[in-house]
Amino acid sequence: MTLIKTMLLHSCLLMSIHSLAELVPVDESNLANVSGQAGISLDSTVDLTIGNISYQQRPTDSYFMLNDITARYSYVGATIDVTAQGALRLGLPETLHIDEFSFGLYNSRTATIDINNPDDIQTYTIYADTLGNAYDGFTLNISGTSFDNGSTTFTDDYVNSATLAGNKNTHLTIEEATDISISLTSEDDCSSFFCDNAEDYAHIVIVDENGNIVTQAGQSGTNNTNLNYSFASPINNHFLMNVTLTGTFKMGGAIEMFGAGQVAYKR
Amino acid sequence: MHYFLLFFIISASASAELTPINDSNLSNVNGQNGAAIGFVWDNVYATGEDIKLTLDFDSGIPLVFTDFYWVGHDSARKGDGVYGGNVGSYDDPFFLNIQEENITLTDGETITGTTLVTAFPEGSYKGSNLDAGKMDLGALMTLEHASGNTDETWLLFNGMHLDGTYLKSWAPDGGGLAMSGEINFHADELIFQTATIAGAPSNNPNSAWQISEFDLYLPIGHSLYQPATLTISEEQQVIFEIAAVNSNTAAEFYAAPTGSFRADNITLNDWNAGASYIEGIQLQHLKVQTHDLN
Repeated sequence: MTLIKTMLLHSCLLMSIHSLAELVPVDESNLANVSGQAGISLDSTVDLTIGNISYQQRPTDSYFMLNDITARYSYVGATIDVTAQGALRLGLPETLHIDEFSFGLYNSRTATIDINNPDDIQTYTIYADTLGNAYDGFTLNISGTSFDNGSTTFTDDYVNSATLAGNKNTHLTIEEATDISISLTSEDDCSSFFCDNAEDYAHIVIVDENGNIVTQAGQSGTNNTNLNYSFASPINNHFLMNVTLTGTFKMGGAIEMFGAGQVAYKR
Repeated sequence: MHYFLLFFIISASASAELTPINDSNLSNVNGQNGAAIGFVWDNVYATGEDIKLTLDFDSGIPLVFTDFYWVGHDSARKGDGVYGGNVGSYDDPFFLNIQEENITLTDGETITGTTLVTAFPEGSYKGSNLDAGKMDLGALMTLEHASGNTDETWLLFNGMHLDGTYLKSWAPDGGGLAMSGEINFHADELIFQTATIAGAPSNNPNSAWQISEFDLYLPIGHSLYQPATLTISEEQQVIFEIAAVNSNTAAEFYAAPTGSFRADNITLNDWNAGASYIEGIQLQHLKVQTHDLN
């Protein structure tokens, strides 16, 4: 009986909702009055630089590149709105002032390293250390397909396949390696009662010329760490054209965007 | 209990009567038509004030554009009288679309590939009456010679539109970019006018080359029988090639519309050179390659 009462109650409730909540169509004139459709006005000042935008056809060479892109401009009176038909309406600014818009167009390619050309030199520094108590030091091995190819030089404390006793860290500077494999072995060799909890953590960090860490490995408690890394290949850029635009544009009108479906076109 | 269930069903049915949806209702449903994005230009114009566009080459002699306007047809070119032009409509917009299409390789094999299509409205080619679809475009080009002399030339495109122009592109095997398309360019007037005065051109036909009712229709490749490709060679040179017609593609190629160039009237200062037509243009094979980019 309780179930019957419940169903009856639901039926009455549904009937009452239907009788009160009749749905009526909303036409476009109603929609046009919905608040929030008045749009947004935009003024903006932009100071933007982009290093380069490139199109690469093949994985290892041949680029087209827009280099050193600078865009310093401001505009007044742009708008964003939605039309009654549901299109996004982008109103062009009344005034667009361009202090500078410029870029260089280059044809670029990867090139054989010329160690006599300063522009070809890329310098990276590798830091290797043990974060724990390396009582007997560690061994650092470095190898790579292009490493030590006659155009690569090493400086500083590099030790290859040898134990650097008594030191807890070392570093080396390489120039022009394009592919490199590094392994660092730190020996957790303390077995005495006083250093049971000691761990030798192998840690490798590669830093570029600006001091930015480009990659690192082995920070969390392993005695042996390997790091493979491919350095950026040097690129020779061939200048084609430089484009610079300054001045002021007075503009008007708007561009509307909307879903257009499968629009037929002549072909 | 069954009576209550029946009562419940009848009451719900009476309130929620289903009514057919007609085409006008469906036309307002969002997302029914796929991924294409349509654009319309509504009263758009842009005029330059003290602009300077410099193209600097290796030669050291820059090509400079020092004035510019893009306005509605027959609008004033500067000042308060400027009005814009309209390109496209909701029914016939400029659009971008990604779609699956059949693509025929040069060996005759047909594959299905994803293409990106960008197209101007069909406009006059489809017979639709687009309001103020034409626009006027002008640019003042300055060439500064090494001697210090300067040449100024106005490039004027009056009453121009690109109705029916489209470009389709896709990624071919082996890299690069494959494409096909058509150029449909019309201008009521093309004027190349030497300019010795600042500001807007004088429109004096006696100081200009003037071509009236200019039309260019040029198919460039076709995805179904003749792809055009843009690639970069091992020597870093740019190659643009429209594939050669062969026995696999000849039938469709020769059945397709041919290109044309039409100028109803050409005047050089006060000399009237009359009309000039070039029709039946077919690009059986085109290969353009740079040689000095390294």
